[in-house]
Amino acid sequence: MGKIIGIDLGTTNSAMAVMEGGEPKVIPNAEGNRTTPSVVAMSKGGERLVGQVAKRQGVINYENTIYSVKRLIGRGFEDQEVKKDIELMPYKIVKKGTGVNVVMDGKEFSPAEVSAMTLAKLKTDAEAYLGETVTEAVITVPAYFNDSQRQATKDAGKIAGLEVKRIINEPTAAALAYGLDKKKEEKIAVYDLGGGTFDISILELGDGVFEVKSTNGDTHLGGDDFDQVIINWLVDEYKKEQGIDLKSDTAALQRLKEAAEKAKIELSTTMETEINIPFITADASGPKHLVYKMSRAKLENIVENLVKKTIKPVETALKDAGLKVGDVNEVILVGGMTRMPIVQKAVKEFFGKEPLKGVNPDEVVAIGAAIQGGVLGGEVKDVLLLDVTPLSLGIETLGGVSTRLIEKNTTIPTSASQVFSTAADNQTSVEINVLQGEREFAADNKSLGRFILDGIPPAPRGIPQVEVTFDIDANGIVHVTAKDKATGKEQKITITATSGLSDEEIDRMQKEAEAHADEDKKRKEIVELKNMSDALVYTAEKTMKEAGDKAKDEDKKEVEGKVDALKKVKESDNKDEIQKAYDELSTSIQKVGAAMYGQAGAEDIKEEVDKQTEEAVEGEIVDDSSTGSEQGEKKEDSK
Amino acid sequence: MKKDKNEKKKTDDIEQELGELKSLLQRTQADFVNHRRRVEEEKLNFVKYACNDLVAQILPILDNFSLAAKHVPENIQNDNWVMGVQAIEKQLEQILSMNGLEKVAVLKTQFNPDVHEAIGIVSNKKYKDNEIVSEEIAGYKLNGKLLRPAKVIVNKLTKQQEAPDGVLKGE
Repeated sequence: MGKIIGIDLGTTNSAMAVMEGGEPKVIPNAEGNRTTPSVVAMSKGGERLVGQVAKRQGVINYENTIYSVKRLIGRGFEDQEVKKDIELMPYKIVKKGTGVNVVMDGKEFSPAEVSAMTLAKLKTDAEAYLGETVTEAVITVPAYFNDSQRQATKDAGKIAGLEVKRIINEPTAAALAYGLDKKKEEKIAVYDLGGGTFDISILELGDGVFEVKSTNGDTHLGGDDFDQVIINWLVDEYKKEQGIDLKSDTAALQRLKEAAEKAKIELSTTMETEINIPFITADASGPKHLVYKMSRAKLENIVENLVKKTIKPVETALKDAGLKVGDVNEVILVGGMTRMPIVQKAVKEFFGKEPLKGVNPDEVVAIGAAIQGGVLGGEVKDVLLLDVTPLSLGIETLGGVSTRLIEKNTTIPTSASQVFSTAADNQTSVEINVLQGEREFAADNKSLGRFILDGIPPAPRGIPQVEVTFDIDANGIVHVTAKDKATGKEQKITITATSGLSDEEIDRMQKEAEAHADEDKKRKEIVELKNMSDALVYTAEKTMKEAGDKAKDEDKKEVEGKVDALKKVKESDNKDEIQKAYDELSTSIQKVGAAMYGQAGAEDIKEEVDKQTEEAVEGEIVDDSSTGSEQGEKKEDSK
Repeated sequence: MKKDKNEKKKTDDIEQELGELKSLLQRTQADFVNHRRRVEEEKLNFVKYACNDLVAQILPILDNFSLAAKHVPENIQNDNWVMGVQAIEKQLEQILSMNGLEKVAVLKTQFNPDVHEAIGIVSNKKYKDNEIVSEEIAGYKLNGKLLRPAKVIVNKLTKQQEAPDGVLKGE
């Protein structure tokens, strides 16, 4: 069964999302953008262009480039809105029955057909992204859309090859994205300031059903107007200062437009920005630059009137809904412009409460539509609630180190395995101490249980391979298995959830781990260095034995000296000294190695030494016999 | 008899639940497989296009260098200092082009909205219809992907009288 995608079919931009693994996800278009301009054009050759590409050629093909067609969809020719648009739009709007058609390349299209072209692009891009056919969708419309407008939107979906499972209101979708449907009874205000339109909707929620109490707005107020007042201000200032009118210079205006938008975005997060356009123009005296510092206060001063214009419709909507400001429980911000601090401030001041943000205001409607699609498709169900492991799980390894196999916050069920080895020659058994916690040392973590795997055939250290596997099932029960790969012998332990930790304990352990993170890290580094030193001493001594008379006596003597030196310092806690002795021995032993294999093999043996030491550190398990007593002492120390 | 009915209902319930669980499992498995494929794709793209953002932010510097070069006062055209600065421009261009940056072609080219953005119209019989007359802001591709369209003035031979002032409001 295919997915139901959620589509926010906007006046200026459209967006789409889908439920995946129980979470809504925005689908980027083929160009990699998360929104697509709702613009459609037909070139002279009859080629159809949709989205960004259509927008780019709008200037030279204005009579065949249709934008803001949402203002026309499902409307009658006699509507006030349509009359206004006939004057405003550079493309032709003609009468068709009682409704309207638009003209592209000499052919008539209904607004639904034009919207269908945008929807068809979204459908194709979604299919490419999801890797499956998409045939069903939930499409959003403004709350004030009447039956005819809703039906026309549904038709648009059908023309695009989509079965529209449901048409939902944009403010309702926004409320769904915030999970408000799970609340009991609420009055919700949705403030939607987009690229070209402003909508305010008052919703009432009861028994999980949203009812639109009232709507209002301004069909010609949005982000573009904000950009325009900033550009105008810059042009005016420049004219005052330099006496040059930038409005007549296409390239300069283009650069100003980009700079204004950039400044607007930057001033949402910073208090001041610099608008810097070198060589913006030139006159007889030479090139001219534009450099202005703009503060957030200045920007807010310029756009204040536009923000104020949104408040009147809000007041009217509240009145129409028969509500007072204090009756509203939640306020939701929708549309890119609501990122501006001054807009947020105005909304907050009016309603006397912090509006909900957090979900990307450009995507919140598409996300809500996807959630609705998920509900209709049966995907959003609380059947499977996946849990996570609150703390890391691992085992104790050489030097009392806690080696993690499963990191905290891993979604369960899950399993992980790692191969370990022995720490001493002829070690025939290993002890697996199962640990829970974030600290670097076993003694600081909680031991969930321990068991011994014996019967490992005698072999030099580092040779046996013991595979340790952790498996956590959906109920949080942990199974730990240790298996000797040579003999196939294995031992296991099952730790039920009851032997785990309470929420308070988990909380305490997480806090402790944070508090001790630095100190633990330092301690661990020393222990690791000591482990590496042990391994190097072992390798060095073994190499010396094997070298016999192939190595020069003076080199052998040097190595012996360095081995003794490292043995001596590695019992201390002086990291620098151990590191120094380690490096020196490492250099000397390579000389012996080089002598054994001749100059050509020197690099190889170095690699081998390095490899051996690495393996030893990664894979040694604390054994229960040879180094056990030492471990025991350590544990008692820290208790 | 009643017991049989109860048993049957129980079996039906279990079968229904089994079906639901099976479909959920399939769905989750499919989500996972798709997700994994996409993460792989995204990883490849990330490596390929990792510098896109940074390079896109450097483009205005390239623009300004070339504007600066255009406006060198005549009396210092051959000045060593000026030539040094021009060499810096070349250096920056070289580094970026070695990393896959290429300019979008505009001269004697037909307008193509895939890589060009029209910001104005002229009507001039010297040029063909739809031909690019001038480049106001250069366009760039990085490793084949469009970073910024070239902003251009385009020639229109038909219906040019109807054109208002060449700039479409609201676009």
